[in-house]
Amino acid sequence: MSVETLFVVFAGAALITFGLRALPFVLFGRSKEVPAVVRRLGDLLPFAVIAALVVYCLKDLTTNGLAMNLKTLLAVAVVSGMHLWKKNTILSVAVGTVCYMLLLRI
Amino acid sequence: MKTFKTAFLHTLPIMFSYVFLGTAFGIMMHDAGYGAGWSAAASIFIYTGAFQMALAGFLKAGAAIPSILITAFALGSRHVFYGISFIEDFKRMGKRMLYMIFSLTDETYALYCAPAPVGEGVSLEDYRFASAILCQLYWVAGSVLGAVIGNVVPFDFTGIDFTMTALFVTVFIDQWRNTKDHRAALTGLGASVLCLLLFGKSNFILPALLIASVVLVAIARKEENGDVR
Repeated sequence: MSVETLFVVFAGAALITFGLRALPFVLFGRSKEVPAVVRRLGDLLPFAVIAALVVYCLKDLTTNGLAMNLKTLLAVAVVSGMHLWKKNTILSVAVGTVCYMLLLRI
Repeated sequence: MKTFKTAFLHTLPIMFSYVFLGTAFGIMMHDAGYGAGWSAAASIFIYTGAFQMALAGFLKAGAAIPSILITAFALGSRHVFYGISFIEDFKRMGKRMLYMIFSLTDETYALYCAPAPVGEGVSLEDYRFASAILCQLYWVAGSVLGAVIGNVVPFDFTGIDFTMTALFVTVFIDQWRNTKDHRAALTGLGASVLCLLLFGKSNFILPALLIASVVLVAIARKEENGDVR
């Protein structure tokens, strides 16, 4: 690709990515008060989005084999167990990831 | 300084994931014939994981500009939902607001949804701004590293991207513990599983978030009309 084409691709992708992230601020951020319904939606959305991101991270369960799925679910169980027990994010993530990496190598 | 220390500690899970995934991106760019400069430019100016991976593939194949930009739109569209929860928070951050919006990725979003370690000389705004900068630094560092080392990876890091899954799971659990009202979490979970089964794993997140938003707006409207639970 020519440098001109690359510039258009990079600048275009940067603008699109930023524009999508900025859209709610453009739509609702300009007025002094965010509409009540939007504010409530903003309070509720994180619960739904984080749930969706968890499902997104586990989407390969639908196509992977049984052995791989068991490893993934076991690692998720370890993370959940650690987190319910110790309530320490860094610890839960570290122990869960080490577990997962070890399981992948058996 | 204390703010940066706190931010560093709490972005550690993101660091592992970003350096690893950034390196993977850099290697793909290297493989497509683009060096560290291009790889860094993408991570500095575009800064969105899934699309950048796709971009490396497009560059290698010499794809047409419209299809590349449509992909940027498709993969970035879920981020439309993220800012809705931080309109007032980011507005309070003055000039830093633009960077906060620019750097709103899946991971920084999850970080802002998690309980914030603030107080004792660390303000919410400074903590979030420092975290946002650190996260992009990890991503850029990984991208450059990958482009420089090319295919020579000194250690098999396979599986380290599980840090992201683990982070989202811990945030989910924290959120679940901090409220008695699980309608939103269950809506998100239900819509995602339904759309995953309906549309398959590559196209489900946007319809899932659309359906969830419609349901949540209905809940918000109902509450507004006085039917508060």
